[in-house]
Amino acid sequence: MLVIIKNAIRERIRRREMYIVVGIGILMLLLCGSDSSSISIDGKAVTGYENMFMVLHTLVNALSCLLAVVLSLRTIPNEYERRNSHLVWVRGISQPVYHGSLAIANVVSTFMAAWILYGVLAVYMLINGHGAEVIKLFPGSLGLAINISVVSIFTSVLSIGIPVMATGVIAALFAGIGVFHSLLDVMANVLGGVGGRCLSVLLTIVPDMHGIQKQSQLYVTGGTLDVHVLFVGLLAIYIISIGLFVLKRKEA
Amino acid sequence: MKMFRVIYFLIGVILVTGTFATGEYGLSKVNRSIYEKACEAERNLAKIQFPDFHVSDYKVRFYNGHHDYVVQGDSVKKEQPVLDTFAGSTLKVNGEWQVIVPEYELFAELFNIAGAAGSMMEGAMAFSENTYTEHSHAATICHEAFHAWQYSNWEQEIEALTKNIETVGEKNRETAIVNYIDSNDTCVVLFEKEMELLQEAYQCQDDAGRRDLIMEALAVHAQRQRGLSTGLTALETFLENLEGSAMYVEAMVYRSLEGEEAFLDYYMGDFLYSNGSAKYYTMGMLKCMLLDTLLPGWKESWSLEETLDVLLDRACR
Repeated sequence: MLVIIKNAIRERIRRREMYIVVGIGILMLLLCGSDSSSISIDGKAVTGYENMFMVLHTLVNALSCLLAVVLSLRTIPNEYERRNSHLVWVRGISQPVYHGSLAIANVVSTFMAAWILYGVLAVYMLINGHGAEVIKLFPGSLGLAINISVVSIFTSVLSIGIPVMATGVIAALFAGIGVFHSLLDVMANVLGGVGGRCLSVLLTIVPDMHGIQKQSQLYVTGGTLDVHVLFVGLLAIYIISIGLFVLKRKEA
Repeated sequence: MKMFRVIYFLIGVILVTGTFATGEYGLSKVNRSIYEKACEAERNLAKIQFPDFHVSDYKVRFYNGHHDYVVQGDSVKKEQPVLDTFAGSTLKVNGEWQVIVPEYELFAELFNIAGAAGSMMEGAMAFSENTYTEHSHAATICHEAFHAWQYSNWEQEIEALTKNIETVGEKNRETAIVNYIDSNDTCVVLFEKEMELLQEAYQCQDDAGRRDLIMEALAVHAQRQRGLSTGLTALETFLENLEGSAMYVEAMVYRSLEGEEAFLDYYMGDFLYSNGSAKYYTMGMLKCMLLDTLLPGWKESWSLEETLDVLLDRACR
């Protein structure tokens, strides 16, 4: 199992999608974190450390979720296309273990890439004289890990049963709903009617990834944490993971 | 594999238990605390002396998009929503006036989005996390509770004003203001002049000078209203007196909770004329604050039979 995970991570690292998203992410973080950025609150330029940290942390979370979709999208289908799966079957490894290992590899490689973005955040903190808080980023990244795991495992599970294109669309929608959960929650209430109800149903299914990210941010900046949101995220990972053991590919 | 299944099942049990144990059900603690702050602020505030006005006398309905949590004192009941809309308001429910506000978390988020959207329209990306605070929400509850008090005490006067307003022939009051008042350049100039004089009077340290400025402002007010129909005059009186005094209560509560600096920043900033009804809220609030300095105890006997202008006129003569 460990060998499968190790090989899968190596392959993820070799793929250019990872570097493109991380590169764009670093560029965006640098632009937003620079003094000349055009981010504003109520028309006033955001220059305060806490506000900027909030913006950058939100951005890292959104980019990491996007990265989770991109990196997890093709992992399982590619293995079957290349017939690598047969090499695994002959060693007597079951499909659930194989899919589980690949999903873990997806999560780990995305988390590694997300840490590069977190590194930019750490540099921003150091430059702004908040070096003492940098250490808090390590336990604080638990929230990021939960979000990445939710999106990555969800994408991996989908990719077992449906075509890549459909997986990409559904997974991106899933990640989008999670990242913009609080905003969409307000929209669902404002909309009302059938549209509002449909949105409410989707919001009940998809965990509040914005809320989870906010707990990480609060941990670093010092605030009261809502443990419930984290538990919901962990429970979502648990429930989605069942798909890895239940769903099987016909080609095997 | 059997061991794995057992461990997997146990993890599931722990996660489900943790999720349910840490969840908050019913009305959140934040909203409970906001309600208590609103009641306490009104009780402690020496400036609010309207006879028998107590926030705790009115039921407050916190709307969460699906249900109303009806709060009065220590009691919280879950009921079907009476107003399936996302707004602060006052409504007669089963024969009693009640306050309706969305839950704080939703309202704050709406304000943040509105703030962000506003800034985005100007071409910039925006986030607004601290615009609408818990204290703002407590002040909003007091604002709406004061409307409940007004409607309970001045039912006939409000009905008479409403009948007059209906003669404008426009169902939507905002549209009426925009179409008939804001589009009239003379009205706009005179409104700005009146506001300028009132603000100057509020800043003036000299008592006689302040009275002169107010008298001048009232003359400008009378001149402006001569150019308006009875219906439009009634509409202005309605907004200035009912909404203005409610905003005054709201501002006083906000001041006591959030402090002087935040109050000055939020309620006493530079006046900018805008289309619609908001400007009447500000003017009515300012008139109430002027009455505090000129006619202490004015609130004890105030009713809609005497408008804020009549009281100011009496105080300055």
